[in-house]
Amino acid sequence: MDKSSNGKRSKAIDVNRFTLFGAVTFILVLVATYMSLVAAPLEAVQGVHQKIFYIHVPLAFIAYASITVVFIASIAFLTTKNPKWDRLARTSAEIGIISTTIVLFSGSLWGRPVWGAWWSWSDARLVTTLVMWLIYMGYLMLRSLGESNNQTAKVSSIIGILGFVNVPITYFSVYLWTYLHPLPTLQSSTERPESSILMPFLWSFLAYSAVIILIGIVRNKIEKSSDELETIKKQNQIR
Amino acid sequence: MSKSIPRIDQQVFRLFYRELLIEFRAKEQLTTMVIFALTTIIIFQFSFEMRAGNIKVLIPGVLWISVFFASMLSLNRSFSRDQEENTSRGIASTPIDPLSIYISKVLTNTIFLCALEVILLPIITVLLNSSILYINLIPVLLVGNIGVSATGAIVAATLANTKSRETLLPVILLPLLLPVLLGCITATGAIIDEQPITKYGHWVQIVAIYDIIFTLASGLMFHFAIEN
Amino acid sequence: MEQSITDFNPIYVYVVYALTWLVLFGYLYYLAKKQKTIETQIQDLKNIMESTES
Repeated sequence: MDKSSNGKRSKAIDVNRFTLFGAVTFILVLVATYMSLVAAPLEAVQGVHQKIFYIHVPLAFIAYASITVVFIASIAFLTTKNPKWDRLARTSAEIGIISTTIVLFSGSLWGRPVWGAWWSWSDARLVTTLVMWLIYMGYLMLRSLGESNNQTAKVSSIIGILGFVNVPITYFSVYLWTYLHPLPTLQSSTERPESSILMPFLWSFLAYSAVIILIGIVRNKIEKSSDELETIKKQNQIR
Repeated sequence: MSKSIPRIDQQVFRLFYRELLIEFRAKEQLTTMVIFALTTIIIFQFSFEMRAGNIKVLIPGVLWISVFFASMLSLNRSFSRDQEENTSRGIASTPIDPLSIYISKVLTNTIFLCALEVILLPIITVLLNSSILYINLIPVLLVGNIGVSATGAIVAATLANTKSRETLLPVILLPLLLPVLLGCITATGAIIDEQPITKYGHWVQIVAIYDIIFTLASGLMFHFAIEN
Repeated sequence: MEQSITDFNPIYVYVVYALTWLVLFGYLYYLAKKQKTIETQIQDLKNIMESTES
């Protein structure tokens, strides 16, 4: 439990900082969108569809980064039992789900015009991302169905660690499976990006990372406030 | 009872013996598993026979899906029984290493799965009219059983203390076990098609690697799963 | 499967951007609302406590 009431002044500063960060984030998203939709040149092969890249790839980075955070935070929680790590793991898992969801549908909507198929079971990245989504949905279900106590935190930490360990193995086995069963499709045509693609990509990455951090901040606040609420309720035996 | 703490292999052996004794007396887990797997096969037979002309192509999938779900039943029972009868608390109060509890659970479940397959394979051969009794299948079945048990045991153990264990076990376990199922189904298919070992040997290796990684990771974390 | 690569209908791009924003900002909005509810609850409880104490 952190010092719950730092007076009105710090709260006001907090709100101001938050608003500032939100405003910057919003502007960043606008800039990134301008850079990727308007300023970036049309790609020769995929044309306008390549612009989905600027959503898909940054969010894929974020998704994989957040499950890494879940993994590290889960280990930290199991070893230290400090609830702050558990909060971090939970927040990152939710962020992971949000970004993985976007990765999945943007990938599907990219695949349809470019590959001619909504989904391809022969693409290891696609299948791995779906499996990842399933694991972390299970993780979050576990968290939401269980009571919010140390036990649930411990249980979900273990699942969080196993889920992370599972990702590379899944990727590798699906890759190998595809390799041996060459289906009549499609290699992704995202090759090494040129600088004209790289800059809008970096902007998008920055912008969506900012949105994600914003979500993380609010999420963490909720966790803290609900902890505070629990404590107050417990102190007064209010049901 | 001697005062000194038994060595880990003795601990594992005693716990393993305990599991087998319970099963021998109650005849609960294995019977349920066999009947359940059989029902699954019959359902698959009816649902696919009409559309897939050659049921033989579906056998690897049918076999491993029924093994997976049968193991789910067994694991669930194994841990919730310990929970209900307060055995887990009893064991926790002894100086037994949690690692040996984990190993004994994996061992028991692996043995049960092997027994299930020994019964199931001839039945599939008879009911689906296609022989799948190949000697090459043994390593595939073995690595697959260990993989399902290694991950299954830790997930079931962690969920045993939660309210929603029955619903969540398959939801969490299936994606975690995807590499095992993928590898085993592919390898079993290759063996049934009488392909040489070069066509499926790497799958056995991948599942073996999975087994090693998950056994180690779970072994390291198991004491968190059962401590209270 | 007969969709050709030269079909440059940008509808897919629009859908992706729209959905992404919807998901991200919708979630943010949902969270902000939830946070507000909890804050109000805490404030209410604190008020009750103060009034019972005095």
